Amino acid sequence: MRALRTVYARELVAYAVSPVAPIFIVIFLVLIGVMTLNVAGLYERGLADLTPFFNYLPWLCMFLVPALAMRLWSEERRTGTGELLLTLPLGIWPVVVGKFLAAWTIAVLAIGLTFPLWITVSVLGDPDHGVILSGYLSIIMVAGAFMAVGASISASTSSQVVAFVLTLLVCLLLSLAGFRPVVSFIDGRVPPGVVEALLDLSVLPRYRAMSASDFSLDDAVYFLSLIGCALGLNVAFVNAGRAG
Amino acid sequence: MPTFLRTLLAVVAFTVLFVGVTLLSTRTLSGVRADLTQTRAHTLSGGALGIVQGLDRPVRLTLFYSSESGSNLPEVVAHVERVRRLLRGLERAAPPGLLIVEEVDPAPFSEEEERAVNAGITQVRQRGGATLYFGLAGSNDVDTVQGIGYLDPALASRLEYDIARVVYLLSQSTKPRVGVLTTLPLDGAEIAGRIRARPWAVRTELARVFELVTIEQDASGLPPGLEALVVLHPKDTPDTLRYAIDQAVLNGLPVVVIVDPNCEIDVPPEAQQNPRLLASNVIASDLPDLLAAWGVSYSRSEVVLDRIHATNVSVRRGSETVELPYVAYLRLGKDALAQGVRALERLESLNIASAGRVEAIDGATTAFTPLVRTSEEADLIESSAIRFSPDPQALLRAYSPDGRAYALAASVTGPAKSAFPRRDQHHRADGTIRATVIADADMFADRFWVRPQRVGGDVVGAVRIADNAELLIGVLAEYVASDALLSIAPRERQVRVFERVQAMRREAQQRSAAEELRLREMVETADRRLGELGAAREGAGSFLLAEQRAEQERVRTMRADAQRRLRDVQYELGREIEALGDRVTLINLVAAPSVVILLAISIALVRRAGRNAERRQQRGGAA
Repeated sequence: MRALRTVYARELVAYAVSPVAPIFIVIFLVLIGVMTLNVAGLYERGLADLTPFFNYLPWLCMFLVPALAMRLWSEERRTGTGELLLTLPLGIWPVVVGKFLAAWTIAVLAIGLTFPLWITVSVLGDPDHGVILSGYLSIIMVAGAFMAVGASISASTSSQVVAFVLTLLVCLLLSLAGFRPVVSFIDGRVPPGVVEALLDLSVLPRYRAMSASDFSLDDAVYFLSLIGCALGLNVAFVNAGRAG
Repeated sequence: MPTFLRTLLAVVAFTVLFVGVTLLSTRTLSGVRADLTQTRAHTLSGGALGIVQGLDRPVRLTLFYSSESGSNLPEVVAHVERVRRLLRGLERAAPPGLLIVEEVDPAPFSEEEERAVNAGITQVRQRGGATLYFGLAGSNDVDTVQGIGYLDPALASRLEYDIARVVYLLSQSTKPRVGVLTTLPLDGAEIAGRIRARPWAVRTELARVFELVTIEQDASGLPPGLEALVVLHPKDTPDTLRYAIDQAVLNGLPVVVIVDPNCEIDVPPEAQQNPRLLASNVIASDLPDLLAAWGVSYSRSEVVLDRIHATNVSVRRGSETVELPYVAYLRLGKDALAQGVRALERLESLNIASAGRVEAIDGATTAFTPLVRTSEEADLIESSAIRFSPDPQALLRAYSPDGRAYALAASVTGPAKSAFPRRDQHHRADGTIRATVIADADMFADRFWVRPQRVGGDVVGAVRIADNAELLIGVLAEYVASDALLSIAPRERQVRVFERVQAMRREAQQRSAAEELRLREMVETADRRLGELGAAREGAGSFLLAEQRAEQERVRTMRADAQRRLRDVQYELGREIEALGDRVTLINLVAAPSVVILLAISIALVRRAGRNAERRQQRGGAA
């Protein structure tokens, strides 16, 4: 546990001192602000909820999270500090989990910094705070899942750019499997059971239900198993990198 | 084992693990749920549970869902899951074997498709020619059929209420008999002598719960076995019928009387194209002697206005259409409804159209409880003022609230006397009455509370936009003591709006209305004066005195000035709201990013200062 805490603190400091994280967070905040207020017209539509905001969030997370995850292991692989880290008597799991948790914390922080929108709708009207809270909890789960995927991909390559692009691609696949135009396209081309399984494996339908405050235990299991399996792969990739 | 192979194995293993756990948990754990909404929108309510737990006869619910055509519509896929979950929950809650749930997949040209059609399930045609069936049919041991033709995903928040109601209706062996006496075409009207319009939605809704017995205007008495009576928009009710009502009510028959000083929907088909007939058509209703005997005062010539609850209407002004509050059309929320009245607990909103007011008569022996009230900024106006092409702006200008809240509906209970002298030995001179008086009949017309429900281009049903029918059903259910029905509430998705912006808009509109009137009058005065000066010029043979010319010039300038200010006033109206929007956008776009940037800069500065100090220390040490 102490090892995990040490790695977590070290990673958080690394994010705080590098200019990359703040830049991405600022870009993310401005983009989500513009999308919600200018494109979707949160104010003009006159409704006291954050539906347009939560509709755009997963798509923006698809860019923010790979950007935060890409340096997790690629950088260490490139500079060789990863080797050094793993020679310390910490064990591989605390390092993997600690790094993941630190990156997830930064993503949660970025998402949390959108709180002025919550205040805005509360001042202008009387929103259902339960629904907004559900929205935030759901997007935090989505960000966690994307981050775990990003962390494991980052461990498989020494190039940050490759890590970013691959993570973006995998997150896109995980989301698009439940995206209506895609489902319509594949429907009829594959057996109905496959379409249903794809919908079950997709992030978006679960996110939609959860952000409407309709939580189900299988959604929680889905996100936790996605995070767990991705981190398991992360360990496998780190081990492979060390052996290779 | 080579590293590459080991890694590949790990990738395959974890992927299989993830897929396996997900598919398994989706099929086994989806019943365990949590609901964080303030309205508990996704939780089975006590009322619905009570209905299924109290079942004492078998009820069968059949879910019709075309899995093939439904699977490419994610919102339908999500909704069918919700429906299944709800049905499973209800099945578990019911006494064993009394609620049977089955699912049928009506594939094209199959026997199941025929079953769906026979059960009245709506056929929703999709692009590409496929047909989607997504509805619920219920039946009981005597083959009564109730159902929901199309389970609209957009109405997810009503799902539980709709299904619980189907179960409730199937669990009842007989429906309470309710008499209906009306001058309005509740059963559908003949238009132009041939097309028969559909029955009103309120009638359809009532008929699902009660056995409605129509009472003709020329009936000599009330039919036997009634448990309640509805008198809707009574006009020139014959003496015999009024006497029959008087006696029945004194004998304990609960009654709902719906009157209206300005019933806009009361236009006979033959008067629609005939202005003269239209003008002579009486649209106010009343039941004067009976209401007075029950201790209720109601004026058939006054309409209540309320600017706090006014709804917006579109008005053409020159070449543009503007939204203006129309103070005679009200959208009332929970704050306008009496608290602690069971019949009203289920209501969220009511749409009211040019209603009258009811009051208790001084010294009445009955207890008068207002059920629906206006805000305290209400006003009264002669109904004739809004009868023909009412001007929302003029109403707003002439508006002068007297600080009173008016009751638009009230319940009256207690001892009352007959309105008629003794006629025979069965005459009842007094008794304890139960009555509800509602001073608006329009509110029950479809256009004030339902919208057609469309899927693609087809109308497949009606969607409620207000709980107008529920008011009537609630009051009647209370009278016939239908506890179960009162316990399930339609939890309509509450529309939560930016109240602050709406209040600003209302205020601005009111402020500008007075200024606009003043400026318009200035322009009109100027036009009149210019006309006079023009006439004087013609009289003087094209010559005007210098004085008159100067005045003409002055009036022209004044007119132009007034017109410019008029435009400014109209522009100002939206400006404040826009300005608030701009502020909101700016704060949201700038606040959080600035904090991040400042924080990043501070960290960088602190680190730099620390490094400099370190370097100095090192240099100091070296020296």
